Amino acid sequence: MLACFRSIQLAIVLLSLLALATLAGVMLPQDGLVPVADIKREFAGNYRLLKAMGLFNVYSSYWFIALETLFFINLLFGSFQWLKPACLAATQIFFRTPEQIAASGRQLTFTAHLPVPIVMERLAASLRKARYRVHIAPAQAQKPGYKNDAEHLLYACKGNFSRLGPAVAHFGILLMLASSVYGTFFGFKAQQLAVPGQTFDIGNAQMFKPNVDANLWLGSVPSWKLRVDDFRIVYYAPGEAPRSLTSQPPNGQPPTVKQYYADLSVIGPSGKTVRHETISVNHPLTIDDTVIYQASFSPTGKLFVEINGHARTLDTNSRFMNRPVSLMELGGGKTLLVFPFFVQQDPNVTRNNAIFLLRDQHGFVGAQPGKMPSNLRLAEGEAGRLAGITLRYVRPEIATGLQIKKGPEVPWMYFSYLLIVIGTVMCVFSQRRLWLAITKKPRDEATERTDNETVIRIAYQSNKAHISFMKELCRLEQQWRQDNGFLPLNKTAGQEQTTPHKQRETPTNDI
Amino acid sequence: MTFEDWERNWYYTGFTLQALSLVFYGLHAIRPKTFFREGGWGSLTLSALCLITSLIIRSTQAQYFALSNMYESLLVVSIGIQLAFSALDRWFRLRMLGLPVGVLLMASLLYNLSLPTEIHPLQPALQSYWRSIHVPIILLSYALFTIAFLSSLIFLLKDFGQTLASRKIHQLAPAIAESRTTTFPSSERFEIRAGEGSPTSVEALELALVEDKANIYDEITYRCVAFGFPFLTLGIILGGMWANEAWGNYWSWDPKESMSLVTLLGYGVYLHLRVNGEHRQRTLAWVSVAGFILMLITYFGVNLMGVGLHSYGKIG
Repeated sequence: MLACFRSIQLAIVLLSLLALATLAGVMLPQDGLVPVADIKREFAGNYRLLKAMGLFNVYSSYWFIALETLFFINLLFGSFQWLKPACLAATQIFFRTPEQIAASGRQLTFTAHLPVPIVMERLAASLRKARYRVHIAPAQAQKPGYKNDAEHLLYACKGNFSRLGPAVAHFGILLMLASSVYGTFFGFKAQQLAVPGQTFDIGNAQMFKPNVDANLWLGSVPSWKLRVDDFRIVYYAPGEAPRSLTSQPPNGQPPTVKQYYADLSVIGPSGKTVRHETISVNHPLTIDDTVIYQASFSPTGKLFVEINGHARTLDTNSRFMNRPVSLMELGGGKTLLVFPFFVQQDPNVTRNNAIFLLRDQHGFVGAQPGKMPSNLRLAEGEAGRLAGITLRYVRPEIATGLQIKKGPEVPWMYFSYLLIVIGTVMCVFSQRRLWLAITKKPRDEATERTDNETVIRIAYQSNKAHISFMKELCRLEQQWRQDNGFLPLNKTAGQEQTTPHKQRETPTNDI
Repeated sequence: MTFEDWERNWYYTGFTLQALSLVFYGLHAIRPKTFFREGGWGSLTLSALCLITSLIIRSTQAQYFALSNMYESLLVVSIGIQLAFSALDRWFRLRMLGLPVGVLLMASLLYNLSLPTEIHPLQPALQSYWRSIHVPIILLSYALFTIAFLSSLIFLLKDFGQTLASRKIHQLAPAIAESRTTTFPSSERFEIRAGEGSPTSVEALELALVEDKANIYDEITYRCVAFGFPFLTLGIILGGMWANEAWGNYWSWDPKESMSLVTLLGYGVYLHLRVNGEHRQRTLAWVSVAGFILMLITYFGVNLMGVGLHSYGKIG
């Protein structure tokens, strides 16, 4: 049962299912990203069935969470299962006897007219040059009956660390999941639309939501308060923007926003300002494990105007022809109507402006059949006269949208990311291992010759990148032949001269 | 001559050199000659340098690293493919891969000419150093997956050819056919068996490699996926860190994010299948093809939708 949960086959199935489920979430409209009414309209007949299956809420559906949980279990057990063999493969040093090498499927055999110790020294040096770690078997590891100058066993390896790559990456994923659980129980999110001059308590923000049900939440709310000192939108100045922008935005296009800035003050429990910072998009303010982001902005509905030189604050308190409007009684039966228009909120608006109209007992002032009544359009800071009244549109009140997030899991999350990246990078490399047995050639019984000949048997293994490994072996072999006069066991020196192998520059040309 | 003219001229020079490289690699595929291969490699590398110059000029003009719309990102992917293939060709000296890579590069550079090339000022959300790290890393992984896909296609074609040949042999001499295996389980890959009583030499390894040409393409696919996977992982992670810094959210299940995850999971399946070792190379090649399709949906499909947090990548 446990074996099934930790199997790599299950991992493959789960990865495939998670990929398919996520794909379904991309292809189908998701609740929260698309209005429910639109989804209902699109899937009229099948809406209920698909909703019951959680297909409009894939990422929070019971079956997706079940898949994630199963994946977590598989990863957890699988990682522990692979850890020991991976550690062993990475750290174990062992030698193979000539007989074991000869029995191995992947092996090479050479002879050399050099004494055993010299061959060993030269091979070890050459392998070290190729960045192998070379281990020489101690005397007791040698086969009984052989003396040290008659036989040497070598183990050469490189890229051992790569065997630990999957385990590191998997532990990174597990840590990431654990960190997100930690963040769920201790973190929160809050949002506040605040106008300059406003101070607010984070616990009493317009939206304050712990990441988990309030009864289960274990986190705390910061004791400090935030005050918004200023909020401003900065546009690209003429000449500052790249070539497509001229001094004025073309064709009455709205100006391009360069950045949104909010000046914030952090008020400590004693009421003193403990910190003052300007935040903008991509540049949040971090206080311990709480971060304050410049997220949005919105007109509050307040309009600052001057009527005949007197400052007034108007509220957009009504709607007319489906647009928000501010109505203000001016006395004498006259009502001032102000329609505000905002950059980035209303189409083709290049500057915040407002249209002013007057209404009296007879209707709109200056209204004639088929003609607009008398009106005045004023941009921010502009002044004009309407039916004998001097009007000045000072500015609309704009609130900055702040997002506040407490994420105590962030350092752990980033550490998990680091582990995942390091693990996947480690996996790119391969572990290459060579076992060498260098022995003195036994005396030829028939001829009774005792040549000073050495036999080198090499078993080789690579867990991946086999072609690169073989290219490396070919290179090493060429080097051994040229520098030390090694020969394949079944060849003589005469044959060696004619072998086509030597004429080739590179072993695997033009495949 | 304006900056814009310089940028365009370097692009066209790069395009012409790429076309020349395609001709060389085409000739090399038909009639392998060192001259053709070297010509193909040289013009491909020069083309990459020209396109990089064009991108540098564009970035100078834009006053930021020009990687904020489809034209620029496709240009970076093309350069990534050129550089990755250039390195791969030096290492493996491939005969067949240059041709499809060249065709694909020509198609992407041609398609790029049809995309809007205007430089726009960066919106506040994109004004971050993360953009210069997150985006190129993701695009580099796309470049590697593209080469993996082309390599898989060649593998499948060669594998299909070998299967056909094997069937013919089987019809003629069943005993010979028995001794040939067209696709090995990955656990047995490159296992060189010594003949009766004779030791194996490196020459035998080489022979085995040359005889099993399809294996090279399987290996190249694996290498590209193995290199591309950490890049994609890193790119997604950096994107998450950027999102956390800009919006206070690592992950929003935005279509682009979700599709990136699907692509990552797809290639994760490939790597796990490979580790499992019980699957045939043919299966792995098909998984690589499927991974590429997922990557295309992530890269182009979501951009065509033009929705979500990555809508600035919208085409047109």
